[in-house]
Amino acid sequence: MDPSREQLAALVRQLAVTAPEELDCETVLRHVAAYLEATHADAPVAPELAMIRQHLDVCPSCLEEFEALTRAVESD
Amino acid sequence: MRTMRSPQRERTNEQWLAELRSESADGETVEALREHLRSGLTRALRPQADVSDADLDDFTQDATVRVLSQLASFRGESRFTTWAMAIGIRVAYTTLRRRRWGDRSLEDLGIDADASAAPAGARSARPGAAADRSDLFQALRASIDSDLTPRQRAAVLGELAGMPSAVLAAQLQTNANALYKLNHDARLRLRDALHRRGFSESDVRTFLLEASRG
Repeated sequence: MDPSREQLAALVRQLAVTAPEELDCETVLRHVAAYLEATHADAPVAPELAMIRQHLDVCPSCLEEFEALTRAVESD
Repeated sequence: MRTMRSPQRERTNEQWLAELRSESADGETVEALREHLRSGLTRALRPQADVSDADLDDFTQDATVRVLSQLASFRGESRFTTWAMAIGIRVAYTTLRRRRWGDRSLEDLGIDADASAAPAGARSARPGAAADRSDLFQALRASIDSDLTPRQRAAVLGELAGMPSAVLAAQLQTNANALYKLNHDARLRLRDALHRRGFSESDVRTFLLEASRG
C-alpha cells in the first residue's frame, strides 16, 4: 500500500505530538470520563489526566469516542 | 395500554454501585442504567446516518452488560454515569467500525505483515533538503519502507487506511494494547528516522503550520 498525501499528512501530525511515554486506549477508557468532567468544570487537569489529551491527539478512534462522549453528556 | 415511566431518581456513585451489585438483571436500577445509556447513545450517535433504532437497542443492551461486568474497575474519579457512558460509547463504536470495515484484510489493502524491509535509500529524499512538503512526504514514505519492522509497517499502514484497531489487532494476531505499543514504537522510530534524514522538529512544525493554513 502506498499511502496518500492526506494519509501522510495525518501521520506527520501524529509524529509531531508523539511522546516517549503514552497511555494506551484501554487506560484512556478508564480515565476519559474524569478527564471530560475536569475539562467541563474548567478546573486544572491533573498531570495524569493531561496524558489523556496527548493520547487523543495521536489516536483518531479515541478522539472520535471522546467527541461522542461529549455529545452524550451534554444535557446531563 | 401505555405504561407511565417514573422520572429518573438521582443517585450518588455509591448508590449506583450498591444497587447494581444487589439487583437482578430486571431491577429498577439496571433499568435506570439502561435508560441512561440509551439516551446518551442516541445523542452520541446523532451524526451517524447508518445507526437505526434497532442498532441503538443492541448497543444499549451490550453496553449495559459490559458496564455491569466492569463495576469492580470503577474508581470513583468521575460520576458513575459518565464512566458508564464512556464504556457504552466504546461498545457502540467498536461494533460500528467493524461493520463499516467489513471483511477486508491487510492483504486486500496490499499490506504484507511479513514482508522484509526495502533496502535503505530505495526511496531516498534529497539529503539536507529543506522542509518542503513533498520532500517530507518522500522521506516519510522511505522511512516506512525501510526503517520499520514488517509488523510495525503493517500497524502504521493499517491504521492510516482506517482499519479499526480491533480488526487490525486480530489480523496481526495480537491484542489492542500490544497493537498500540507496536504503533507507538513505530512512530518513535519514524520520527528518529526523519531526523536522520535531515528533517528537524522545526521542519515538522513548519509543515504543520503550512498545513493549517491550507
